[in-house]
Amino acid sequence: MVSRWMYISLVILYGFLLGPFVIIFMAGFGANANLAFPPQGFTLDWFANVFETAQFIDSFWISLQLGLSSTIVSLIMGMPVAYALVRYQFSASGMVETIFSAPILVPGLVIGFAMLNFFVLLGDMSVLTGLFIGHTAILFPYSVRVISASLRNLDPYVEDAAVSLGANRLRGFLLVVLPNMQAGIAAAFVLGFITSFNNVPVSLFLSGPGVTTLPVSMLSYLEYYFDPTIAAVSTLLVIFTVVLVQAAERLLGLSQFV
Amino acid sequence: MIRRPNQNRTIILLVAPACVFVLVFFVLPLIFLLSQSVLPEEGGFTLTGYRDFFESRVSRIVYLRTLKLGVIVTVICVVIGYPAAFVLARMPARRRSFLMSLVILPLMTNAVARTFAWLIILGKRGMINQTLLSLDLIENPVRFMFSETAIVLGLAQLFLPLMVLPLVSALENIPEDVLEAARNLGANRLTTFVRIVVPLSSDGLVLGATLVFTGSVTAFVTPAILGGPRLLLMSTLLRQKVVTLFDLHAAAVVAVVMILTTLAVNLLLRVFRVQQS
Amino acid sequence: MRSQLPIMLLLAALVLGLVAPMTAAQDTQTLTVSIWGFNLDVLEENVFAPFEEMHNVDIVLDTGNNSDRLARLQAEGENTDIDVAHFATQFTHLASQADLLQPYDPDMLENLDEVYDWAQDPLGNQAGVGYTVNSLSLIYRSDLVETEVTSWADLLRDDVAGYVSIPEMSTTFGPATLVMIDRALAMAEMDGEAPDEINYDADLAWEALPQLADNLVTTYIRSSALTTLVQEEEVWLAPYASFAIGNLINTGHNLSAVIPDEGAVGQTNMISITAASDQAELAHAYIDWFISHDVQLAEALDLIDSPVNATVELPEDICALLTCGEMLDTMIVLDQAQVSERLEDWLERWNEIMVR
Repeated sequence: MVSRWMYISLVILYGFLLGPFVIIFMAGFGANANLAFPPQGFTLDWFANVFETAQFIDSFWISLQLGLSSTIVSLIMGMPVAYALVRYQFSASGMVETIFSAPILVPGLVIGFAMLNFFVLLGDMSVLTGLFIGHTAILFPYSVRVISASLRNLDPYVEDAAVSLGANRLRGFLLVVLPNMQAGIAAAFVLGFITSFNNVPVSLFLSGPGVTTLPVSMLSYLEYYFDPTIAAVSTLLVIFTVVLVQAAERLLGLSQFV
Repeated sequence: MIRRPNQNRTIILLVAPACVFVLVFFVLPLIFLLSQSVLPEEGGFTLTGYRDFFESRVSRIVYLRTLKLGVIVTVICVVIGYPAAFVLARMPARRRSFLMSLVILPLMTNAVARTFAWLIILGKRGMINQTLLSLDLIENPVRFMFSETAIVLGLAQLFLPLMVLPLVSALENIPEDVLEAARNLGANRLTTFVRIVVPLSSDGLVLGATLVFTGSVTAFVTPAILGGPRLLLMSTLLRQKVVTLFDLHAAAVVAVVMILTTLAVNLLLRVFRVQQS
Repeated sequence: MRSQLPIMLLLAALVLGLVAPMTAAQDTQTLTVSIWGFNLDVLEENVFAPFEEMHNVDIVLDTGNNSDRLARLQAEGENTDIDVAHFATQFTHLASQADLLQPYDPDMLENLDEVYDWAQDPLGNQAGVGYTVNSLSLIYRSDLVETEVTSWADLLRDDVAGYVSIPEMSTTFGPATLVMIDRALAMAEMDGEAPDEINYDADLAWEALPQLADNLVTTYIRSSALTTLVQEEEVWLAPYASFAIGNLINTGHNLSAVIPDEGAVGQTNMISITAASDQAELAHAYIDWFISHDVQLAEALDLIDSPVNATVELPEDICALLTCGEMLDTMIVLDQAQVSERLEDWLERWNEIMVR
């Protein structure tokens, strides 16, 4: 069924998907300060510039903190939901599922805008708190879905056996279920972190004075400069995520959850 | 399934914290947004915001343009993604998993980084113009930036993986026997493809199309960078209403129209899926 | 060992993610300044860093253009963190009308006497102090545009079609561009004679705008975007704000800056203290520092801000690139009340024409 010419489609696919990355790498090392192609010469100045630009360093730390804290909180709160959905049958389960898939259906920019208006109504709230809430909310669908999938793969009788041997439900969960879900949790963690770390639309309206996420500060940098510094940041980010994803892929095929 | 007398209490304990969080910090802001769109500052209930939106030539053009580009991007993703997904689905598992991780890789990088590349490709001194100039195909650089073409290319690159992933998982579920049987019964390649492969993978196709379309009509970064302030889409229009026109009422209307559009598309998908099964 | 991995991950994450924001609580006081994201490295050196040292304070920056800033102040109201806001006069006017600013106290500004009279209190209600003046005129690629550019109406010329950019109507210089094109078209109708008054209705310009729209590559919101467009050779001719000249020259292209026959438009940028700020004393110190001789001189020498401090003396070649000397007397200053009155209507008409 697969004929030779169909392999051309792979070339097109990967050329289109990965070509831009090759161009970004090239631009990141090119000596010209503009976007002319092909880049001339070789320099590491743009990479140096990334580390000298406070805007990038500060927002990197904020994105990191935000990604970790919102992923952890969405996991801690999402895990019981996934557990309830998988292990129990209850009438409201359909509604619960809808509520937790909703953040994925609403456009990110709209979420950020709605939250900004709402937080103003609530009064004095720090920018970081607002961002944290926004990111946690959009991560629930991922945590709940991935953890549910991982729970479904787990034989409920193992847990029941532990309980019948005298452990209470919580102990049973902590001692039997949790260790067996390591891979699922790691996958949910990486997926959630990357989603938060790369988010632009939700963060756009919620960022504030001195508190900006990395992608948003990259966007605003582009509003002022068109030099290859962004290419250098992007190159570093690709390396950062490849390492992260590879680590997760080793733990469990991440692709089956995306 | 566990059946216990105090089951309800347990379920509530498990579900409540997250539910409260989502209801307070997500659902409530959306309800507030909805009310903002029908309750102007002057007070009273009104739908004039929506009437103004659909009566204004500017927002009509922007809305239709957004939908049009969404359709074009989806079609491009199907055309590029379908044959490639078919090849990928028929590959040995090891090679496929490596190639699939390359499909996912772009999804793991933020949209700003990925859109930046198009500035280098499409600019007056960009890759395409330099290539065309050196081949003597054009005399003067052509303008690609700030055009619908630029936005479409950027969006297609951004969302292509969302088309390929569900397609591959749908296509790999078609057993080789089925295809062989069709061939043994005398069907040629095209017939097999149209009559067997496409219907059997329609689930993945529809899911992919929904993801790509909704992604495209709500994306912000790509139209903001490649379209410029003149070539507005719904997302950039929303931003403009907020930051340059300070018109929160009109912005809320744009936002609600965006939500309704994505919901409608997702609902269509559900209907389609029910019909399939 | 294996089972410890997620726990370690969690712990590491908890430490990083939850403790770090808390430790970020500052001992020193902060002053939040909202300003354009343009030339920040130079401002850091000339203004922010020395000020931080002198007053043992951290300056937190919020960057964006005029309308971003105004939108933020309006949205956040009394809860805003912003203490000091830089605005173009037109936007100071809007912010002041919306009660978002507190009046400054002239007695707390030692350097105010050195500032030109017209910049001391441009709006007449102590909503802010003018700290720099800039002007809008035209710049073009002299190597690519063959016929000399001399008039605002040249933006409509056929030979530059597809290579023109103009500022968005929502920006400081959007209305100015429109009014000047109108003036140019009126002068052409009256055989080169300048009309006595500025016609704020700009009928001729509105009539010509669809034609101009066809000439545009795109519009621009920030001067930095114009610099980029020029750098990447997308734009050959555009109105530019004088504070961008240094960056435009740095693109390395052959550029000619011209003051068109109809004149250049002058505009003052102001610093104001937000109504919600509880840092009035520091904010005054910041304003006083910005209008001091030393800062004004340093900013001018770096081709960023044209001075309003009368004691600053500039070399001629620097002055020629900035808005200073004779130009201060000849430039056209728009009546902000006239502009504000029409702006809402203009924005709508503008969008109607600019949407493709």
